[in-house]
Amino acid sequence: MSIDPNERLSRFVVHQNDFRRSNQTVKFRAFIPPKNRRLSVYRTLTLSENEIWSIGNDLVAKPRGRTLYGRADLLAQEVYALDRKVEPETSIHCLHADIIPWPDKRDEIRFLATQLALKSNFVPVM
Amino acid sequence: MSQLAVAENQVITQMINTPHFDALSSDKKLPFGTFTPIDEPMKMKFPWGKVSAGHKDLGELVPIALDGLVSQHVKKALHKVRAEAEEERGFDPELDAIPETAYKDVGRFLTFAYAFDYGTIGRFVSLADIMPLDDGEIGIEWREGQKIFTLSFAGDGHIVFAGIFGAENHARGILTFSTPHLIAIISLIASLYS
Repeated sequence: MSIDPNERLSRFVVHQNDFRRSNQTVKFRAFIPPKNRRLSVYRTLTLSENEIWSIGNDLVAKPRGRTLYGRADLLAQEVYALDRKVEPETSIHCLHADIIPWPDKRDEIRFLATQLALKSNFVPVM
Repeated sequence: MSQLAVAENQVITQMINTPHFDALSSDKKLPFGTFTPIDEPMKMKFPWGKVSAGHKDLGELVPIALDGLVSQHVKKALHKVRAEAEEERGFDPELDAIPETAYKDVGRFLTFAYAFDYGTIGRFVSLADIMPLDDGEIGIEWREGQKIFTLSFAGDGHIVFAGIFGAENHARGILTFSTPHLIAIISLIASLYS
């Protein structure tokens, strides 16, 4: 199943270091992939704000014992423009997906994370 | 040409296009003192009066043990990163630990950057966000509107950089931790604010 380029993707922010309070921007740290090289996002275009924050709290923040600070939103087309895919991965939630693939080289990973951070918008938690 | 060589060329190209390059390119008198290029003992007189003599050994090329303001800022920044990294590992013990060499490299970079920052290219060092990364490195980020520059240090003698300065205007690469490369990186950071 392909994801429409105009779909909004949300990456939940549960680290204070993932965003800048002063100007509400997202840092590249928020987009550095975990060891499995699958960057977790949720497809949130069809959800209400309350539903979005519920997912962030229940499926991301609480299981890790963290506080939900907000989310980094970007459109799927921004990911596609970087030659990446958004692959549905519904074992966690029917709207969960992963941004893949990630390069092996460190500078390429950092560059990709930096590009995604620049293209994303921070939305603070309600 | 290897990817690293391409990246280095990109850096050098951007560096020589910065207005500060002339001041940084050779044995010049700078507002904070005299910069002596690599392969010679570095002598830097800082505005707060401390004179540091470096050595040919790269490990001592950048003065680390500065007393006063810079040392305090650097120590404070590294202390914050260390505390945050320990907190993160408290939440997730599987996160990679940051090696001590990474803290050391960041300290050397910040000290060097502070020295160049003074009176030359604005106080951009104070605008940096310094943070632990979950993959066991230390990241530094500068953001100016739609321009961004990031560094990461794994403590392996290299600096990974990525910068976006506008449409079709970006640089990324891996550089060894050396004086010319530090100067190139600082020039790239400065270009965010030019």
